[in-house]
Amino acid sequence: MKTDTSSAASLAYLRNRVFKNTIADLWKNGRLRLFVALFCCMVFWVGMFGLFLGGFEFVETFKLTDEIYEYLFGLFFLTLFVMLGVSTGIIIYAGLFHGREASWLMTQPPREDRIFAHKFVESIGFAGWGVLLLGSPVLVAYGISVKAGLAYYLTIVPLLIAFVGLPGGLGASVAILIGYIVPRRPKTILAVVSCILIILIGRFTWNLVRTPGDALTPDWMDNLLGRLAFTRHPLLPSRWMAQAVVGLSHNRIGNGLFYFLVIASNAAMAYLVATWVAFRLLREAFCRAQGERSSRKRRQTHGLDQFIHTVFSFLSRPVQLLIVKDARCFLRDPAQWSQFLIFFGLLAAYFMNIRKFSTNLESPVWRNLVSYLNLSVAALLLATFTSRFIFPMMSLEGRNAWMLNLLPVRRSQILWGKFAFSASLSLFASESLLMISDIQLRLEPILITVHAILMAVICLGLSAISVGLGARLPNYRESDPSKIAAGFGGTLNLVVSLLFLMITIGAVALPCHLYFVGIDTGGAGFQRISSAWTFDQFQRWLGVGVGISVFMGIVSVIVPIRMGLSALENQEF
Amino acid sequence: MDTQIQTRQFGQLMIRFFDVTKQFGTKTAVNQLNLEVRAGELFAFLGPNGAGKTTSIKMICGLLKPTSGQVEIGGYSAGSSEARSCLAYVPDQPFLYDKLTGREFLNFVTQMRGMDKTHAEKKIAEMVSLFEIEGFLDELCEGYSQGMKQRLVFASALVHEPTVLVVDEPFVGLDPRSARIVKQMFVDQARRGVAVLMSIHLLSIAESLADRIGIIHQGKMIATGTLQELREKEAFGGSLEDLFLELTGGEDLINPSDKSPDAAEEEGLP
Repeated sequence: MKTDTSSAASLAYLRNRVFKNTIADLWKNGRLRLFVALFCCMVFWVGMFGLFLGGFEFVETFKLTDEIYEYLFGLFFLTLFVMLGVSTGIIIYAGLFHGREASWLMTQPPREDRIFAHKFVESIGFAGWGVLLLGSPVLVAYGISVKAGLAYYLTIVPLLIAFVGLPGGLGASVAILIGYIVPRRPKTILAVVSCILIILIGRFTWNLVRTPGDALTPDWMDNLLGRLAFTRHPLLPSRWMAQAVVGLSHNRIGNGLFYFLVIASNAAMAYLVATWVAFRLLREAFCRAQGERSSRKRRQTHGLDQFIHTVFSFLSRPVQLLIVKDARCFLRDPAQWSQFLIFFGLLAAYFMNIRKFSTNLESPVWRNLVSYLNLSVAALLLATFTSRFIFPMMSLEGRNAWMLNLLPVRRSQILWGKFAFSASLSLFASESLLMISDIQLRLEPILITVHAILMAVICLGLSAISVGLGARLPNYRESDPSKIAAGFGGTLNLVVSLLFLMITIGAVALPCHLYFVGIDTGGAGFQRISSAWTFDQFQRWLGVGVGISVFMGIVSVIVPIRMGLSALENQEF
Repeated sequence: MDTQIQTRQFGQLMIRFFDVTKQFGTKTAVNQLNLEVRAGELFAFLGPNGAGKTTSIKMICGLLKPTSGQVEIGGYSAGSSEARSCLAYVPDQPFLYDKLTGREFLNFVTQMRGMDKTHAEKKIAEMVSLFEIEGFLDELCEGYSQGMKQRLVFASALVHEPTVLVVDEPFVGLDPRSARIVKQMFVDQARRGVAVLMSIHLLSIAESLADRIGIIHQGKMIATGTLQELREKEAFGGSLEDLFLELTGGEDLINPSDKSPDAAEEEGLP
């Protein structure tokens, strides 16, 4: 028993020391990174806060009942609940069954439930931080818009922390059970769960979009709320959160605290169940998961190799071979291609059926608006894809630098190879998507051409940013690409990519929007600026917009690639 | 050394494999393995790559469970808390927390082992001196070289005075001085009554240090005993390296002059 209590204390000592040393090290050696990270978080928080404050204040003008807010928060927290459950499950699974720390701790005296608790605290720390960053601006904005009292603000943080524990505990239990029951198929399970979630979300969105009645009329609202009725199921934790938030914000302290305690006690129970599952099954699950390595022979990829050599015949042979290597790694990692396929596949399915979603698509204004929304969604997806999978590539390559340096390949060729791989893959996927969208929307040829140019600029720019920054801000210590992407460099890469998208898309979308709105409204209000535009004048403004985007694209290719090349040439491995 | 070994008496049974088989899908990694290591014994576990050494070691540490058979440590089932409390394991790729200093790591290990603070401090000082790690003990582990990491891991493994020490490829990354310290440490631990099992590819070290040698091939223990016993059993006059190659299918690499006269005659060699 003494060893058991000392295990818990020692693991707490470990977390404490690691946290303090990390902060001290960051303060000493990476102050700039720390400030940039804090600044990015602050910008994100303020942006979210401003957006939601505006939204809530707009909603308040309709004098909506608390019930509507409960629907809104019910949906918001249900989404968070699912996301947290899945993400904590994945983090716990990876930490317990694939981490070197867990492997070492399993040979040490701490009981299995103690080891689990240690990893659980870590993963909840990550998840809790994300939820605070995402949830607190929403809740503070809501509190201000409904003029909530002090008790509301004091309860927000404990409420969010208690909420995180509930999906976290459930996700952790499921992760251990997956290790125990299907240790050889964790990725298949993940893919199946992802598909089910996506289908459910798709069906839900479809139902919402097809709500009968004219938008924002009382009938439409009634129908909409009817379709959201499932979010008010009394056994859903998201309902409890919605009740707690709305109750506390309106000074119904007793009601709010009741639901807060319901959430906290259920979270404690979920944690208890998870530790019990760990106590009973973790070692067995761990042993089973260790034997999961696949020994099956990989298929030869002569056809793919030949295809790549043909497509990239303008590049030198060593670079072609590096691209072949990257393509093989991509195809053999389901985590990469499955995410790519699922999201781009879903978008393709949506774009192909876009005309069935709305009857408003005969209006040029709406068609233009929807076309740019589609383009933006595809571009955002691409930005997350390049940040998650392309950015870590240079860091991972650095680990093999001893081998690459001995090959007859210049370092710059490695970087160009990555760029070519990323750009070609994203060009193929994104341009195909965009063509489907634009053809379905029956856009004019000039706009289709402009969109195609814009998407090409985006693909090249995002690829260059990820490859260049990946080489400039590498993390050679980390072998897990998701951790590299989640680090400082990856975050900065995502922020830069988003800024790049804002400018490039905005520059082209603005003249298009003004022109079409000007036609539609006959020059009323703000659109007077563009109402007098002839088609020739519109084309000129569009030309300016495309010029700005292309210029941004060129800058976004040249600057990061030069930075990356310089860093790579001077890098000592 | 052989004469000395034969006269030594070993203590109680500390590591025991009884008809242990481990399968990964259709592949049998360890096949009906029987093995015993006693207190005070230094056992060298030899075998080609993929023979089943690491799998066996992981079963001792409770990281893998046998498909059939039983593994016991100090009389307890491997992986149980009692077995873990008497065990020290040093893997081939040492694990350390990058953001802890060496001293903090040793403090953490002693706390986790429930050691009394005064005793822990005394043992840490002893280990620091033994493995000569004072110079970098207060630096973060992320800056350590492979050898520094390996020495710290050895210190952390021995700080709680284990009765069973299991090491996987212990000399990887060690400079000659560190290697000498570690070799001497193995002998000292065994003399103090610790059961030491080391998996190793350096046959010269196994030859000079081990009380007994076990050769595993394709999951099966094909030979165990002292070097002398192995030579006698196989009617082989050469070095341990040649004996190893003979047993594990590398006969073509053996210099004919190293073979015993009988074996050479059987193969028609001059």
